[in-house]
Amino acid sequence: MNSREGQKVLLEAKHLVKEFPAGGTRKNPQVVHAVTDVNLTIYEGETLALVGESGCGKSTLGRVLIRLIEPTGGDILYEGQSIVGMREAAFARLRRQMQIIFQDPYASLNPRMSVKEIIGEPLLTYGMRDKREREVRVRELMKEVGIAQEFYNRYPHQFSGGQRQRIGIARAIALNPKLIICDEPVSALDVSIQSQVLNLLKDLQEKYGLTYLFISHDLSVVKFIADRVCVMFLGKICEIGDTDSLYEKPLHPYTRFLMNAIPKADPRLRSQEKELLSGEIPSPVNPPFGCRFHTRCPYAKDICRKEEPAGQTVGERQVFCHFPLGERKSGLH
Amino acid sequence: MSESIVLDIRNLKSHFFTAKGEVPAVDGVSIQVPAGKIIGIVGESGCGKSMTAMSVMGLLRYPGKVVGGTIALDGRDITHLSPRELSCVRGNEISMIFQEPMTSLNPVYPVGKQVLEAILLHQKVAKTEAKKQVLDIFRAVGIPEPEKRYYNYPHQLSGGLRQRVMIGMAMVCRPKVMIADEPTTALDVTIEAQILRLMKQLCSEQGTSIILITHNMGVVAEVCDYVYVMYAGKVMEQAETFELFERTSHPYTQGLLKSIPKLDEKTDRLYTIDGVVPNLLHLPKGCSFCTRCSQAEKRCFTERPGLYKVTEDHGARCFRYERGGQLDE
Repeated sequence: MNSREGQKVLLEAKHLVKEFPAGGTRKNPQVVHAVTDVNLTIYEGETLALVGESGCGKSTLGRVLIRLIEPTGGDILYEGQSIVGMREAAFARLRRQMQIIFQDPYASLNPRMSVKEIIGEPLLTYGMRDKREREVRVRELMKEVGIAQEFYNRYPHQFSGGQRQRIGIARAIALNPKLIICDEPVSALDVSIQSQVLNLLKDLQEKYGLTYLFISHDLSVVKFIADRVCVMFLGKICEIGDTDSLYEKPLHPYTRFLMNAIPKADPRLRSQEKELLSGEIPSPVNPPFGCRFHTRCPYAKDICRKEEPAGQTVGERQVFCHFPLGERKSGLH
Repeated sequence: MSESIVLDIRNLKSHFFTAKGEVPAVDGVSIQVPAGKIIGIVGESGCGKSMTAMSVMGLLRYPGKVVGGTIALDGRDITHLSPRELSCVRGNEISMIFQEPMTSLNPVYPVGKQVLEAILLHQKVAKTEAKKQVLDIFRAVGIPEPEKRYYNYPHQLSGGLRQRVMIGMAMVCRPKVMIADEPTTALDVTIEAQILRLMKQLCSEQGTSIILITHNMGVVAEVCDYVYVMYAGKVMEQAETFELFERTSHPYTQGLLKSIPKLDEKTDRLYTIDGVVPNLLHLPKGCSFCTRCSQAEKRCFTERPGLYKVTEDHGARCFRYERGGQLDE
């Protein structure tokens, strides 16, 4: 990816690989190829969205990037400094700058801790020992995310899903981080609550200059919040580009099918006649040879079955396909 | 709606009797399902859409109970059937698909056998004939290699295939009505699109009516013919799909539609409906939406609105349409 003018690179992944053991025999062990050879740059202050279907490796990638899971191979540079293999003592200083918000607001908060303990815990871990000082900060954070002050001593089960997600957000911003990984933060919420949380995330970003890596499968949410979008399929990147241009003219066939498949809240746009993607996602244990998408791609040719496509740069966009969709809106190659 | 009504739910009331009091989960819901149509019930969690379905299926368990109203299937009242009579109807004339295809299939039996069971229970056919029917329905719902899949266990199938098996099981006795409770929520978008298309196709080929319960306005717009919007146990708005999206009348429906991020426009802020869904134990005295409504007036807090006519076949539970008169439910 070309460096962009005037924007500082915050995090950079180089040939990042993550494999998980998946049984098999000792002679013939099997691995899940969760993330394969991913190159990614996150600029300071932007929202980069990771989009894809379940099992495409988007959550794994998000966690590997802040070393919640150790990568199998490749390198991660945070502000130009390699953090892979960095010793824990040195990494702890950087870790407070990277936080994560999880998908399930019911599972990500400890049911035995009160709000004050949940939000106060990172503060305590990073040296704010004074109880009164901590209370002031926790109350300030609660106000920031819209949790009423009288809930200071309450427990997670006394809150609704949306409020819990707000508590999770308060915990994530407690240490003034630079980067927040948002792992499907609104997919467990109802529509009317979802928009409240999305607006909150956007406000916080503006106020504190936060950088988001926003992981989601919901393309309409991504369109609202992201500056750039990265589409993944089976552990690999299909396409990266600015949100507007990517939505307007997808270059990778998978991106286009993904957009076609979203049910739009307008009956005049029914997709009855539109092409739909057939088949299912191949197994990440034995990913298809060549282009990983070729088993589902209606445009696949011989070369797609044999050779993995190298990245092509089209304008500011990058696409990994032998035959990127050009000007034409539809039609076969 | 002038078509022949297959399932007629009138003024259904299902309450939960809890230690804290009586919870009106379904509070006077009337739904008409014409033959061969797809009816959508939308709403947020806790609005009573699933409980309506469970009441129709006779699946409400203690502390829940149907306390009022009638459910008529093809003119026959099925509200108060004995468990034995009900089991002849359930799975045969009305069937149901659940949200989570992993937990609704039995993990210790091959999927083919589970579908076979439904046939043997309701039809007087030999086992070999029944098996043929299973393979036929597997083919019809688009399961590749049906002979092989017949002997597979649920864990060997992907989410999309499991949901196809569930649909096959629900359709195999050619029911009059199929209730699908969030059938695609657990699936990926590309698979969701396949399943929705399949349901629509089965509906038109076999003349089965479908009640589709969902929280996703997109899914409604995609496949439904007629829509009921529910909130806090009540129908807030009902209309034919195109009419509902073109002339959205109830403030709640308007808010819901406005708060969904759109693909074709760029906004800096999303519209939000303030507040949260009220506790059903402490509903506001007037309209149940009044505390969150941006257009609420004084009387909304004290009086309960009826379902008023916006146009002939379009109703909204809001005083703003009182002039149109009551929509006969």
